[in-house]
This record gives sequence, C-alpha cells and structure tokens, in this order.
Amino acid sequence: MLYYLDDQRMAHVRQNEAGTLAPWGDTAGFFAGKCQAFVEGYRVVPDGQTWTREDGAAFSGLMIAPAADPNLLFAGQAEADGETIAELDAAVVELTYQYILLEYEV
Amino acid sequence: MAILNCFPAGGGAKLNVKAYSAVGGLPASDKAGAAAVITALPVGSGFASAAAPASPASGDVWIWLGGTSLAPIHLSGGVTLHPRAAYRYSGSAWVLLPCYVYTGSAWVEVTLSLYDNGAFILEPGVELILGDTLTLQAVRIYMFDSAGRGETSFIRVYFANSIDLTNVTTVKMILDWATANTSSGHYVKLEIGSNKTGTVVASAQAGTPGTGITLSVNVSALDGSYYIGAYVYGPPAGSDSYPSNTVYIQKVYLEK
Repeated sequence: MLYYLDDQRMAHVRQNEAGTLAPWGDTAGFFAGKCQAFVEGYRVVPDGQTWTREDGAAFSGLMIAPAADPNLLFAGQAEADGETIAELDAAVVELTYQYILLEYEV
Repeated sequence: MAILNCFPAGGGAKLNVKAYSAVGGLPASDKAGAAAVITALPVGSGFASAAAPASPASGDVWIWLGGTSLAPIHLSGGVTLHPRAAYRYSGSAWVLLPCYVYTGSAWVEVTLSLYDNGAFILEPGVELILGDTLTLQAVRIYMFDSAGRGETSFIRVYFANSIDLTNVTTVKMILDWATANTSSGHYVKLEIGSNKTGTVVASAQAGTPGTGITLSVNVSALDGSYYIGAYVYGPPAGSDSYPSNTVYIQKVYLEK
C-alpha cells in the first residue's frame, strides 16, 4: 500500500494537490486496515533517510512512530472499525432482502 | 562540593543533593538515600520533580523523578522518590549529569539503562516470545532462529515488564546482527508495544546486518507504560538456503 510523507515525515493517505508529498510503500503492512486518522497520526522515516527532532535528536529510517497519543489513535481506529462493521451489516441485510425478493419472483 | 536543597513534595521533606567535581570525590560512605551529582561546572539551585523546571537558570540542577529507579530514596514523612536521571541546565538545554545514590552500603549510579552489557538494570530480564533460542551471555543477549531451507525465520524477545515511558523521548537499542542469507527482506526491529505479542505502537528497523547497530525510536508522544523488545525477520529464501538470523543485544536505554 502506498502512502505519502510530507517534509516532517508525517504520513498521509493521499497525495496533495501540488504533488509535493513523497510516496512511501508500506511493504510490511503496518498501516494495513487502518483508517485515515490513524495513519495521519504517524511519522514515518523511510529506510536510508534521517529525521531530526526539534531538540536535535536524529532518527534514521526505517522508523515508524506515533506523533500523537497512540491511545487516541487506537480509539479512533476502533470507532472507524465499528462504522465499517455497521456498514457491512447493513449491506448484508440489504443483499439478503434482495435475494429473498428474487426467490419470490422465481 | 556544593549542596543543593530540593523540596520534591513542595515543602517539608527535603532532599540534599551534593555536587562533586569527579566520581573519585564521592565519600566512602554517606547516609542512606544521600544523592550526589558529578559536575565540575558551577551549580545553581536544585530541583527534584517529575517535570523539568519551567524557567531554569544556567547551572540549575534537576533530578528527574518518576517511573522506576535503581535507588529509591525514602524521605521523612513517608515520601519516596524514584530518581531516574540528573541534569544541569547549560543556559539553553538540560545536559545529563552522572548521578549516584547511597543505598546504605554502596553508591549506586542512577541510570536510564534497561540492560547494559550483561547487566539487567531497570528490568529483571527478557522473555522469548517467538523463535528458537534466547541465551543470556556474559555481556550480551543472544537471539537465534534456526529456520530450515525455504522457511521463514523470526524471533521476538521482550523485556519482562512494561516500562513507564512518560516524559521519555527516545528508546535506543545497540546490537550486532548477522544472517546466514543476504537476500533482501531481512530486518531487525526495536519494537515498542502495548503488549508483548505483536501490537506494535512504534518501531525502528535496520535492514543491513552489521555490528554496533543503533536503533532509535521517537517515543515523545507516548505516555504510560509500554513493552520494549526486539524482533528479527528473515523471509523464506530459496529451497537451498537458510534464512537464519543471529542477534546480540548489547544495550537498551531510555533518553529524556
């Protein structure tokens, strides 16, 4: 899955309009199934690159670390998962209904 | 020798911190709970608190309290302090100082090391979560996975207990790593997890084997307790080669 990084190495799920974000492939699947808010709460320093924190500490890639409280990120992810499950449930109900209608037509 | 008076409970119980110019200046014995910092530079006021003083002056000394300490200090009034590190304000930044506490029988260095060349300091030990072999050698932690031809190699080792990372900004691990197969896709990770079974919150990763590899992960956004460990992965190579990995962990420590 491809994500995009700004100059502070913050992750984004989409390229910006100017096309200035650097693409990064999540080959290990760290963000697999994660919602936009979760992904965009993270900083990713790609392999071979270095990011320097405000206090001067340097971090070499590959580093994946939250830039926000991870408890909040996981709570947001749980909420998004709940919405996805509700949507899937509704879709299953609708498909089941359509199937029953088809059966009656037959 | 200068004496710094600290009032960690906001008054009442007092902690005296003595500043010595060299480790060799420490007296042979002192009162249990006596604290000392080592600096040849002039010192100002002393502070002992969980958060750094907001408006320090150059030379001020801050004893960072919280989490776990090798040498807790019991003050009058039932106050127990857990010194984690000591800093001197240079005028622009807090600079780490060597710090010692007299336990009643010896001076013990206050450190943020979890493990240092054979010594478990802030942690009692490590556990093998995945893989074949975990051996505590004299000066390092030995991890090995003997994956066979065409198999995947993986090994995960974690410190036994969670570590309070509140106010910690960086976790570092120094290790040596060798692999029997140089194909791409191998890596070794420093993991920060909400458990020991793979719910990884933050990680730093190296993909090239070598000696003296330092993995650093930024944990400044993390409050509370997390588990710290190492994970090594080797993808299945061809049916005629072994993806085995050997890792020697030398040091794991926290930075403020």
